[in-house]
Amino acid sequence: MSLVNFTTREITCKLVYYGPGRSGKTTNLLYIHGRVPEDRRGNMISLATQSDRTLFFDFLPLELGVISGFTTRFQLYTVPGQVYYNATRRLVLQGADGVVFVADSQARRFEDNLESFQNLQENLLDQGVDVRQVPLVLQYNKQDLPPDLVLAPAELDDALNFRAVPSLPADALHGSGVFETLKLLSGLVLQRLAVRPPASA
Amino acid sequence: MSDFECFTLEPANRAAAAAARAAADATGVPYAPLVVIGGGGTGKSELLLAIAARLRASHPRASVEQLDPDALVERYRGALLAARGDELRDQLVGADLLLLDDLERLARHRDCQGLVADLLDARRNAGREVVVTLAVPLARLEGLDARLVRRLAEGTTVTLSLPGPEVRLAILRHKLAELAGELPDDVVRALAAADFGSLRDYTGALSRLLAFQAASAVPLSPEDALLLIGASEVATSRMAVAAGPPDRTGPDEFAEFLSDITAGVSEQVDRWKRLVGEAVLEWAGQGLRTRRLEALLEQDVPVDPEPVLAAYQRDAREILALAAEAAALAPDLAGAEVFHDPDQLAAARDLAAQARSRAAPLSAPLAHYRWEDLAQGPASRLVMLAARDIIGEPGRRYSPLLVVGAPGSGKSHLLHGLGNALAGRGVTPVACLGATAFAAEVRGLADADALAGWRQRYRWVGALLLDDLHLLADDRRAQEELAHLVGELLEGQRQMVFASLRPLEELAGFEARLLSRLHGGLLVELPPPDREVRLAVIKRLLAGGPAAQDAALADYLAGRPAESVREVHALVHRVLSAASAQQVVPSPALARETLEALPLGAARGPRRSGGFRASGILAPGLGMVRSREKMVDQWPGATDRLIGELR
Repeated sequence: MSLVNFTTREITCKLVYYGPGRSGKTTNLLYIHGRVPEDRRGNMISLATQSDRTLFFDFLPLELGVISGFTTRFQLYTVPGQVYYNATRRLVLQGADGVVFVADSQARRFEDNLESFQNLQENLLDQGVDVRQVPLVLQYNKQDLPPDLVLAPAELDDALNFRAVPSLPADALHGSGVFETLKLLSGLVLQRLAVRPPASA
Repeated sequence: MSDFECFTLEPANRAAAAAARAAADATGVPYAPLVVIGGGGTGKSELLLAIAARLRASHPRASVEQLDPDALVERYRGALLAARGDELRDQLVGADLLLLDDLERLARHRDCQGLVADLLDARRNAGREVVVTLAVPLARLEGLDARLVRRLAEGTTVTLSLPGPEVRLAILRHKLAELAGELPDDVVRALAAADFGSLRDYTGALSRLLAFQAASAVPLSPEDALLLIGASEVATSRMAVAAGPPDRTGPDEFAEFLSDITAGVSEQVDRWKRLVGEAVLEWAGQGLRTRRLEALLEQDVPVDPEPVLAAYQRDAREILALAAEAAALAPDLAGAEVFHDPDQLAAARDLAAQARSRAAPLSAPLAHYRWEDLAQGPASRLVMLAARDIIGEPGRRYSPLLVVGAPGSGKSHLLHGLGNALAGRGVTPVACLGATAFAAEVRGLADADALAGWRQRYRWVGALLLDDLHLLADDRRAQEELAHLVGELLEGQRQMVFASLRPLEELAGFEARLLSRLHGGLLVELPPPDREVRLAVIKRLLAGGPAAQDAALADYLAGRPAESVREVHALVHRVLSAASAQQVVPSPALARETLEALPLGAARGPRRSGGFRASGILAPGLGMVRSREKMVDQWPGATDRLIGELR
């Protein structure tokens, strides 16, 4: 996907929220949706099952207006977390400019996090994307739960963050860390805009 | 903490602070203008002060004009009254930085709006920065000239908002340090948490608290401080909350996010201006025209600079390489304008091709014909004088110079010697060749391209010396090219020297066009060598041999009849050969024996018409030779001759 289109004067960033099922990806988008003025957001498209599990994906377009002469749009996607929807995950992941990995901080979900993170790397590699190059932020969600149920951010860092990418704790349900995550990833994506080789501009 | 850091602490103001810092540092292309929009008390004026201070810190001699509309109007009207309106305008255009505060208030002064619009135009064209603050967004500006509003809209707009409690606390601490005052920290925190409408209220309250504290021996408590400044206690509790978990209901998270994104996008997208600006500086520094890049900067909407920059860089490098090549091959072409303008790459390529074609080696003067070896006698004084003038001022005194002389009179030596002397004076390249070779070159030009290349080679010679001009008789093509070349070289004030057996009037089979061009020059005759010339030539030939110091031998040989230098050479060589064969030292006796034993015709060669007529009758003083013809010492008087005839 073309991040900057100088012909149409548009900047479009596709950000994908990845992670195991029920880790809080859709909750992140719902919180953002609730905080964005109506004139700046499109309809959030969510295909969910009766039990509110994401069946296909969530999509939240954000119209940020004209910045420095460019119409700037952010498109936020989530992937279905369940293991058997890997084809959909691959599809959504295509052309992503940045990825938020939403980890479930509960200790009992430790293995699910590892499995999903491994799956993210496989899917990126499968699309020929260098995992080390794609802007990535780790969000350790559900840190509001009782301490005896969740792993500390440092413990999750030890397990997941071997590439030393930015990470932060969050409570997506109440909004803590949600916009911080979004800002962090957006910053990385925009930085990448500057270092991208001219040929792909 | 600097003033700028105070502004950057507030996420919503980072874009404004970054832009202001860029304006102060004058890094990259000016925003021209940078428009800072913020409500009353958001710190716009403080930001302008911070910009001015930052610029002065880095450039102490920088001129900064900071004006609000009232001050501007007052100065403008005063200048008009003193008939110094243009002077003021020049002063404001020429300042390193122009800061205009609260420009919306200019709505009351319509007579000055045109001035400000002109200033924005002029400073933009001059690449100088203007920073403007407005209390209302551009869309809500009223009472301002449409041209002025348009100019403001063409600039870069950033917003400034009232900072949150944490940033206010940092600003107040900074202010406190500036004022060198002391207040308990919990009092400062309480003040920062208070609910005022503008930064000015906070700094004013801080001053009041400082004044109170200075007059009181008892340290102020936060509660007393709030009472003193008339703030509610609710704010204090908010401060406590702010120190704990983030307040999700307070700040506008989306606005903060949008501010971050705006700053990020502005920085990255405006990168093109910096890139192009840097490229302009870099290539202009190498003496290249940068119109193509400057046109990019003049565009209102950003464009993708990479392809243009890459193309310009490619062309610029090729231009520089072509210029270097031309400089090596044809120094006079190196300074051509096309070698400084990547937009004229095609023309530069053509010129470089010309330089290459000109670099084909020309026939240079023969090195062994040295100017220093040319002998001068009374008869050759005129031609040598002209030659010396030519060496002194090539191309200016006598061009073309036509030297007419009999075979062997030294025309070739003169031409080559003169060519070598000119080359020694820095006249390059010098083409010195015979007419036969010239005609052969012209005949060898197979097509128009070859002809064009050949013409280029000769068009740029420093001097052209052509021997045996008379041999071009009836060669129309060679004459045509020569006439063309003479015309070009005359225009270019290049030196030309021609040698011919016959003067122009006697040249047959020549085009009038060529003759008329040659007539414009100087014609000199190179006479047969007189005694002085012969003596000089003989001494040079004997030098280094056993008879080098034999003045009698040299005198005898110089007295021998010789109509050309070539014959003088022959005389000397015969004597030297005879001495070598007999294994004796050359002497006058040997020379007399060798030369006088020979038949006269063989010694003198064929008789030639014109020039010095060697009758064989030589006065004793001119040489110790007696002619084999009858010598008459005294002519009889007229009476004796008459008597003889009557007899």
